[in-house]
Amino acid sequence: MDLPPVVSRSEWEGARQELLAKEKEATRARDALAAERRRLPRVRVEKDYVLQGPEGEVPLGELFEGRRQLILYHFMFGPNQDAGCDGCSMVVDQLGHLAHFHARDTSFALVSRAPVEKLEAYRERMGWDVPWYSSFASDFNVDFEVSPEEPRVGEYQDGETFALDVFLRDGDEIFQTYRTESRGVEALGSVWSYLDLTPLGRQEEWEDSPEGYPQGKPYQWWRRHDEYET
Amino acid sequence: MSPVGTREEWLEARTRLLAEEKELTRRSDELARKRQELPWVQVEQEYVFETPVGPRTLTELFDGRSQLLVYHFMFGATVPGWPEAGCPGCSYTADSLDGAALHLPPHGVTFVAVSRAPLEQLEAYKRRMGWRFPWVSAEGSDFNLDFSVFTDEGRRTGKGFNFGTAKHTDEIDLRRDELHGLSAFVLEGGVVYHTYSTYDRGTDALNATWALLDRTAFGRGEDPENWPLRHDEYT
Repeated sequence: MDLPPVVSRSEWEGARQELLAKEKEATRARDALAAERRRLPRVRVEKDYVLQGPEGEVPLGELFEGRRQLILYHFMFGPNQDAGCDGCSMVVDQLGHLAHFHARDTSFALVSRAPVEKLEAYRERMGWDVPWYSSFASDFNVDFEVSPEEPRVGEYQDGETFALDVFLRDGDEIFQTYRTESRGVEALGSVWSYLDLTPLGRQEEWEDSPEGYPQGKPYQWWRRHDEYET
Repeated sequence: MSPVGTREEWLEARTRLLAEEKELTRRSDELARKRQELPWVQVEQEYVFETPVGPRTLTELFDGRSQLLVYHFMFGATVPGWPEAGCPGCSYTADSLDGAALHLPPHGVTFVAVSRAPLEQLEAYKRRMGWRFPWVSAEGSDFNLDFSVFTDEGRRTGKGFNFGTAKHTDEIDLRRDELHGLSAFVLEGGVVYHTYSTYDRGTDALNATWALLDRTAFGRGEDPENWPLRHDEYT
């Protein structure tokens, strides 16, 4: 194995500074992309989807839990399976505390095709507290192109795929603003990375956002997760 | 607010953006490759940390693996919440790191948080926050200073945060202030090398497991068998 050269601290710092300039370029490029996302047009969700939660039927609008934005992860969990997808499980493991999303007027939910009892059992096993809804009895997954028309026996997770959608609520109306799949999901992890996909962004004053968007000072809105006022 | 469009219009705009997102993904891959090409610096000093199982050296923190990622968690006398609590911003990052860190040891990477506060304070706060990652105290050692500035001048003056970036340069004194960051080390032939450190907005993207691996000496490497697994399935 060809390992990099061993150098002094000051030589290393020189090489690191050169790389830092490139890392900063990538950070600025990421900010610019997030600004473009906030200007994407939105599409009205015309159908009244009803999903299944642990307490019974839940219309799509209630996934917002009264907040303005909803990040929805389509978690691969086929109806014939007892455990959800391992890659999706890693995504949820590193999600962080939902209190930080809520502090930005944003809810987070998982939706899968498996019936709600299976989701609840697996959620308990994994020790997660993220809200999880079943689309077992709804067209939701097929319409959003993450499930085949009929579950495919013998395929991984019965043929489900993963994706992340972002929705915005305006009164009683729901709009889809964003979707990402594949390596776009791979890049997510921090609360910031998720907020960068939402129509309102991080809601910080330095952001290039359309006129009138809610914005405050960075590094001031967050609290320790048990210190947010509800 | 953005205009409401048809599904087709949205798809067209989204597809245009996707091309730019892909460009950034490729650029991030390229940066990860360059991180792996950075030269290494031998760590000459034998640092000792206070851990729940007694004092441990930096070498021992590797815990039998070849790579070590250290999250410099701000928990010291100048941090809001002292003496009971660590920095709120680091706590926010730690909430996400906690789950990601479960997937690192099975990939040959040990993850540990290091702070200046005494161990008892770290342990009490960790219980309160419900975290699982290992957390050790560097109280009384120069570890934090040594991995935030890299020149003798910097060590003497406490200046030079984030490799001398102009921003913050006057107000930050690294001899006194707590700052967060991430450092990567590798253990090769019994010798510890420092390979990477990042601060400030460089930590934005850190919380995901892939992003963490992109910052280790060996990167994502070949996908080993049985990784990733559900976190209660690793043996």
